[in-house]
Amino acid sequence: MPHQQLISRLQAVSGLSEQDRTRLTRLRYKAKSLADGEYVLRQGDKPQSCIVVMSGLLSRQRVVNARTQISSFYIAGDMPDLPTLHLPVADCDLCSVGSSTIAAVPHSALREIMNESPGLTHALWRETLIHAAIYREWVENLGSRQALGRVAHLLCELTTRMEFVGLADNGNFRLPLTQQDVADACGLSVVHVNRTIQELRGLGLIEWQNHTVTLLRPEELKAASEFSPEYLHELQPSAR
Amino acid sequence: MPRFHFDYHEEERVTLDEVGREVQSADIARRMAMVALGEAVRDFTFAARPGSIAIVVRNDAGILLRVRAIIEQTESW
Repeated sequence: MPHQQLISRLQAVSGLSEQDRTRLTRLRYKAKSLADGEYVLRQGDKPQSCIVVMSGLLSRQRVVNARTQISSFYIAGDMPDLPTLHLPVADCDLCSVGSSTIAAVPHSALREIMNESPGLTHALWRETLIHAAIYREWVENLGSRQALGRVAHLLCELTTRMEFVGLADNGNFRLPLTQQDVADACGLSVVHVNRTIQELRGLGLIEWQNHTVTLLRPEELKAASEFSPEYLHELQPSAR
Repeated sequence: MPRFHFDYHEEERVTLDEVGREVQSADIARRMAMVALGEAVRDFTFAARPGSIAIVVRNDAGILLRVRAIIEQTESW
């Protein structure tokens, strides 16, 4: 059921009326399991549906100058190709990182609920704007920070987004990323990322074992990466 | 595929790459070491910090390659 994750996500960043939550639970969809590295969408595709991530992690990526650049990660409740509702040709690849499950919701079903409910139109618009804000933050992260700050910022962001949908418990969350994925997302080589993660470990800021990340001293990690969660636009920011 | 380890040396401080990674060829491992060295240099120069950095590539048999950068600062204001 994709509804619960989608509702959790939209509830955290937009707020939903009871009627809108009901509308979302009635959305028709097709669920699909994805293996590690399986593509959901390729650049140039013209999808007829939008994806809701149900579990796992997807990356949006493209090969630039002979290296893979990941420009976004999507977790449960996110709709990575929501823009295809208005921009029909996909402009990047969408790929599963580790195994994931997704739900494909037909564009027609999304248009119907948006025609019925200005509240949902507002929520999905706001969701698109938030993902644009996240993207801007990534550009700034890659353009301005040293390796340690880039990796730390990525971890702070993912923890916070997972907290929104109940996937992080006290700075502890499952993260199926390999060091190569972190390198591709941070614009760094895998060798340098390996060293940087070891440095974060050595400083006692994180633990990262068997795909589980624990932020040991989250405040220091945030300070090291100047992470401030305002750009994630949580509706009622809790004390983090 | 052969497995290579990429250790990072910063003056006396060494960060060992204990797990290592599989790389298609020695040529690619050499390029990886060079790229990583450049990134480490960038971290130093971002912090306006002189120093010496090396990346040592080894396999189970021993050291195969060492790439090194020295960031030197000579002042005479």
